Amino acid sequence: MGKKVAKYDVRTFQDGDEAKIAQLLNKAYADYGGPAMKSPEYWRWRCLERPDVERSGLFVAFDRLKGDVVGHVVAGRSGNVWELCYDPEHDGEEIVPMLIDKAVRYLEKAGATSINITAPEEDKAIRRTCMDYGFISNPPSKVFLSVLDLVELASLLANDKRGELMARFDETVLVKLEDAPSWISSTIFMKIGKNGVQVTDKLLPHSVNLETDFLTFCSLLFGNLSPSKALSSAKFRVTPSSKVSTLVEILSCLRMKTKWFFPLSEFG
Amino acid sequence: MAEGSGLSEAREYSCRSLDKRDEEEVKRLIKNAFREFLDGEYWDWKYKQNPDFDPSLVMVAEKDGQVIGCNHWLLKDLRLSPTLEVKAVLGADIVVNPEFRGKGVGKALLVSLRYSEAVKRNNPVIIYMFADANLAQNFYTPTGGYVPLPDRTVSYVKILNWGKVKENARLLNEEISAGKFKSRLAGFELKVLFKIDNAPALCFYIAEEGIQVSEGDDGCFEDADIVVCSDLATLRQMYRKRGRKTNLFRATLTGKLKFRGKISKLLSFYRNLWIIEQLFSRRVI
Repeated sequence: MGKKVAKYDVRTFQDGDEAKIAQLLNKAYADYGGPAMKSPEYWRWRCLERPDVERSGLFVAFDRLKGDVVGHVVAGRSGNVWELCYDPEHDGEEIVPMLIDKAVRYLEKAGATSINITAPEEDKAIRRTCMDYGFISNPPSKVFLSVLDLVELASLLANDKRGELMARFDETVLVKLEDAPSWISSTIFMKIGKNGVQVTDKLLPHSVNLETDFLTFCSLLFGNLSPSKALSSAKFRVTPSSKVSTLVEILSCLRMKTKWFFPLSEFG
Repeated sequence: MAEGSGLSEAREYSCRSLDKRDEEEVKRLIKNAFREFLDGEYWDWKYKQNPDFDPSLVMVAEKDGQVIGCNHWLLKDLRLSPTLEVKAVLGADIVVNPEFRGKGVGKALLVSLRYSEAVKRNNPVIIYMFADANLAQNFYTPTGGYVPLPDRTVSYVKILNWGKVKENARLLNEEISAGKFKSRLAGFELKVLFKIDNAPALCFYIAEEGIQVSEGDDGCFEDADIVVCSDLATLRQMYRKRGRKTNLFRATLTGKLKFRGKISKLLSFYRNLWIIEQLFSRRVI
């Protein structure tokens, strides 16, 4: 039986790869919440011009037959692997070990004391390769979120779920917030009905009152607190009480169910 | 509230947008605060050369003509779901001169930025940032209403060499040479070999005169007084700030940390554990 020919190979970065890498990032993380990749120029600044990155630490995996870019890794002399990404339509189990191997060899030669790679938790190809190379998993720096314009955010979220909200509910909810930062209105109104969805801080006749604190409301919207759990731990109060289950359903609908991922290149 | 308004004036400093003449002072503040990353010399790249940089989204706090604090925001597009993208800001470097900490400068900078013309003009909906959990709990959450994001990011780490431990030993040796720890180290001598899974072997020769560190197979002692066997995850757990000794006992009892050596040497090692703590400090793992 003949020797199996590798489908992919790795080379160092060449000018002109930026656009393909930016496309690759958008494709690989399309299902994730996080920073959107704007342009090849932006990627150039973010990776290629980064103070600890040299071209010899930037590797591109490509399909040997078609020449398509199917993955890349950006290793900085500081030991940070700023980006490690591959095309989800290609074989990560083959691409990732090739890229990590290149990054490890480069960083050993560059004299880095350690290597730090970040990846989505559920990426099995990266996890398996890292474990094979003797990496340990570490909690990364935490991402924190706050709101600058709550009316606009609630409006965007409600409109994103507009079809479901309009079909299921006919309510105007008054949200009263305690301990909100000074720039946040302490009352907002969400009008949901078959004619549409409206969020405003201007007074509207309302059918349900929701009283809670700002952090709880943000946690509900950002998806790290479920409405039923918040209810059971008395994190909010609803009047009239007959509307509790309706409100829990509205909040469940508005709540982001996003998988978040922030590449390390976004952090430094 | 406008920039430089009553809130900060009452506290004898004012907040205003970054001016070209502030750049050197801002760079100095950043360099002093974040030496651990690229020696703190990244401001030009991170901000000035950044295609998204808007100097009006950098707020400085000024007192008697001196910049005593700064806060940088960067405009971003943030994907909240596969179908929803919003304007956001990344809350980046915020620094307050240590002499002025605890006086509300950080909060004043954050609030001033929120009400700035630049923010009104761009109208970002969300702000996000990366932070240490303790700092978030003590500053960002009470000041700006930040909540942790349920993100699915994991970090994988591997030690390639013990350069940071060697640097720590160099700093410690400087203190020993200056006469510090003289009584604690009097007559002390110990050879310790660390065998950590998936990392180079690490050897310490600790004596009254100072500490020698070597790594890899070549430089390590066959005649070590104590051999410590463990893995990186256990070591990282042990060198967290809180409960180090409890973690040490727990790791020993569960077999994740093994010691080999004469009882007298082990006791001596335990009594002088502070040296090992110093050698592994400054985020070695």
